[in-house]
Amino acid sequence: MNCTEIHDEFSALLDGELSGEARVRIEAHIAKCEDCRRALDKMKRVDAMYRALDPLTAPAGFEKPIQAAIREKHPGQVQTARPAWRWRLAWAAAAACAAIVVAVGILRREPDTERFNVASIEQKSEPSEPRRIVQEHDAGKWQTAPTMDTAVPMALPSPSPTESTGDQGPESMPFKDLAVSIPQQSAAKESRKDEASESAPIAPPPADRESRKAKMPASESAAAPPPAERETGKAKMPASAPVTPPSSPVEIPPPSIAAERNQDDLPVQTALVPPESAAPASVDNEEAIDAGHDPARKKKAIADELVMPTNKLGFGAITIGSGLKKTDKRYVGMAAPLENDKRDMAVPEKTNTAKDVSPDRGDRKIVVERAFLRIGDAWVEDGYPQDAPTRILRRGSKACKAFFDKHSELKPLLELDGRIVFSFDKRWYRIEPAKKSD
Amino acid sequence: MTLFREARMQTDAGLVEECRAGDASAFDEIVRRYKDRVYRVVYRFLGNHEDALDVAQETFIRAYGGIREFRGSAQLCTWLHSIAANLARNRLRDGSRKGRNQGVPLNGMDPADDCSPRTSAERQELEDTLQRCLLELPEPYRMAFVLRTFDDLNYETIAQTLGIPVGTVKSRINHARRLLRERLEELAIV
Repeated sequence: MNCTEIHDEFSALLDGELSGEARVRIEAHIAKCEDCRRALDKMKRVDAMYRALDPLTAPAGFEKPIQAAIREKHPGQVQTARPAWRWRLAWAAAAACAAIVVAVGILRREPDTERFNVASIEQKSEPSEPRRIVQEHDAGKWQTAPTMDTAVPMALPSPSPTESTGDQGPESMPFKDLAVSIPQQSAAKESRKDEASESAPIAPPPADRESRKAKMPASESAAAPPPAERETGKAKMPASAPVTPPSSPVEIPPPSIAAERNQDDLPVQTALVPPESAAPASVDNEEAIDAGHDPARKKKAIADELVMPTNKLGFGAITIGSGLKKTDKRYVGMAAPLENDKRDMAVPEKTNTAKDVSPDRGDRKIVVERAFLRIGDAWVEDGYPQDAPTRILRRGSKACKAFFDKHSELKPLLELDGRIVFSFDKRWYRIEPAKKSD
Repeated sequence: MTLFREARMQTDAGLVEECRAGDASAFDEIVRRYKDRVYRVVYRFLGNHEDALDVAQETFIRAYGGIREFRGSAQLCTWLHSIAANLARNRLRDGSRKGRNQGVPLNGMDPADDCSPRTSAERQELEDTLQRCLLELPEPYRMAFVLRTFDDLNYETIAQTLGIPVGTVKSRINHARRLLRERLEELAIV
């Protein structure tokens, strides 16, 4: 390359627009050529001088004529910047929509919530003190009411003296005392079983539960589904799984009912596992079940249950039958009575197989703006805390009449049949059937 | 302003899209972002603040009217500079006909007339001299040189802006620098 060709490449060299090879070649020439080097230096100075000129900026108000001209030329196209109030309005609308969605969701859930309120009776007591609700079998056999975690047979805790006697006497005893009156069939308590039925909590506290699980015979473990199965509502009672009596008469697992309720009120299969000590071999027919009922003993048990200490009897376990949806999980623990008494009600000492238990169904009623759950023959107001002492009012008694005359707004409660557990003025009352005159 | 829109407003393409959607604030942002560059290039090319202001503003007005046709294949700045270059050339021709923007011929400059080279006006005089020398350049050389020197565009972008080959850009810029060097040598500035 001669010097003229090199000079043509000066700008490209200054601007870094030359390829590597060309740049090397030119730089090599410049290094040897004094004239080219001097010319390049001058060009660099010229370029530097122009680059050093004042960096001009557009004068103030530059945009105004533009905006004016645009508005004039394109009147229909120009939009002003979205003002803040439009954003606020948009957010407000979005918030309103969200509120509507939430409200609709709540309203649509209302039936379920109402249905579930009763179940919360059980849930409120979990897990420190398991809920104890009872059913009374019309044949004289007290049935356990369901709890959240009664699928595992357990030994019963010994009742405390205060629990069994109560400070308020027989007229003020926890409703749990109604829980179960099952004739004790163990040898150690044989002498007492005809005199009184003893009630007991369906599910012991978790601590006791764990220890009792350890003591549980293998057959019991097999009969009771694992907690995970119960939670998912998929637990099934083996069709003919006999319950092995406990090895120790002291540790009598209680029969309990873990009832689940289908969201659509579908029948829920429950299986009652009777206390091993109370169950003979197996009962395969209805007659055998009925034969185990002694009407005289039943009457006696009903009469005595109010004054008997609790937590003396054991109960079997209830497992949840099939046919439940996964969504039914939230209804686990819903207390539900046995719908068909003799046929469907499992008798603890007779029922030791799952097929002896028919589907269970719970009912609800709203009376005096209170939700009541049908548990056996009792209507229990939602929110009844376990072990809460109840003041007993017997139908037809003077005290009952006086009470409802004084609080006439509660009279609709008397329209409920059977027993009624309700709260009033921070106290719990229990209406018992009138005494039968012999 | 939503984050999404805020993010779109960060890029030229997003600004163009927002502007096409009718958001005037997006075009305001385009003006704010490019007004100085356009004005600087136009002024250095025309050498007159009044004409430069008119041409720069007209550039954005034209851009707003044609933004729906802007396909985004080129950079927004290239497109704007292309509009500005055409308008500036037109203004230069119009000014030539009207006798404006003639500038001061470099030949008429006498360095000896600079009686106060060390005064405070020395810098301003130098700038004026440099601007006059620039205005003496032939228009094709001048525009390429201006875009390269005052907007730091590379040859490829300049070629796109002016619609000429890169080699032509290199040649024009090199010619412009050589002429300026010769003029400034005559003026004993370099």
